[in-house]
Amino acid sequence: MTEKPTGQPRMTLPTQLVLRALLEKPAEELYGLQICAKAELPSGTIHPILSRLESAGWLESRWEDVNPHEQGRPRRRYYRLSPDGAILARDALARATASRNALRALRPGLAGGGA
Amino acid sequence: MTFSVSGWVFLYLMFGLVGLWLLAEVFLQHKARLLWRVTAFTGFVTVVMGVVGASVVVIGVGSVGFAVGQIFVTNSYRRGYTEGWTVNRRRPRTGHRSVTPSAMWLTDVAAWILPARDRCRYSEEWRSELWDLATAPRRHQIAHALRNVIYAWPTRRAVLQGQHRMAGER
Repeated sequence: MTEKPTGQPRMTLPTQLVLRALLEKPAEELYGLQICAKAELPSGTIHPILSRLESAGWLESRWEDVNPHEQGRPRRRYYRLSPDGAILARDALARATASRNALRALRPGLAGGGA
Repeated sequence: MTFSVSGWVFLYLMFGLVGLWLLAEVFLQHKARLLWRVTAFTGFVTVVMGVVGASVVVIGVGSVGFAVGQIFVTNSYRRGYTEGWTVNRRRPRTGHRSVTPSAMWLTDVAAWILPARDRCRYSEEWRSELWDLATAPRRHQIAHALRNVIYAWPTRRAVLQGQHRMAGER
């Protein structure tokens, strides 16, 4: 499902982790638990993030193409970055990293791992 | 209003019959979610308690619970839902895969928190995640389902904000 972009989502740390996980292989589709594992976030915590990214048009999602009755299990929901979303995500992550680095530069004690 | 003894006996017999019917639905009816079957049963028991205690408020609360539960049970049945938990249902299993009913129930609760139009989607998605955790210990499944319940509120907010933004742009 592709949606019209509706503004940039908030770049919280978990959002950045999810985006980094999805950007590892932007063309690859991942389902919820795979994204949690790659982002190193607890399972069940990413759906608000996925929903925001999807309504912003950064993510596309679709149902797994299987018959749940034949498989004996519910269908998975697969997510991947939309072409525009991948570009915007890289850009947003770069900005977030730059902001973090600028903050560290202002607080020299934090730079270089806080030695 | 006065009731003869035989009238009360008949009334309580009917309560007993309907109660047993609803209890059987809780344990054996796989065509509706456990949450709604339990809601209908609990509502009915509350009505009976209200009659015993002669409390109109308790009867009213029970009636609402019973009505809500029964409406959802009927809707599930009409939609052809077949994935509800029952005590005797054989689920397709591979190896030691088994989803604990309490985790499934919590997942139903989490989906219920969401706006009505998104419930089916997230319910299926979260159930598929539980299935993927079917080889994990029971406590991991329950912890996962509990996080789904907790994060259902932010998910609800995110879904509604997305819908409002989409509606605003049209």
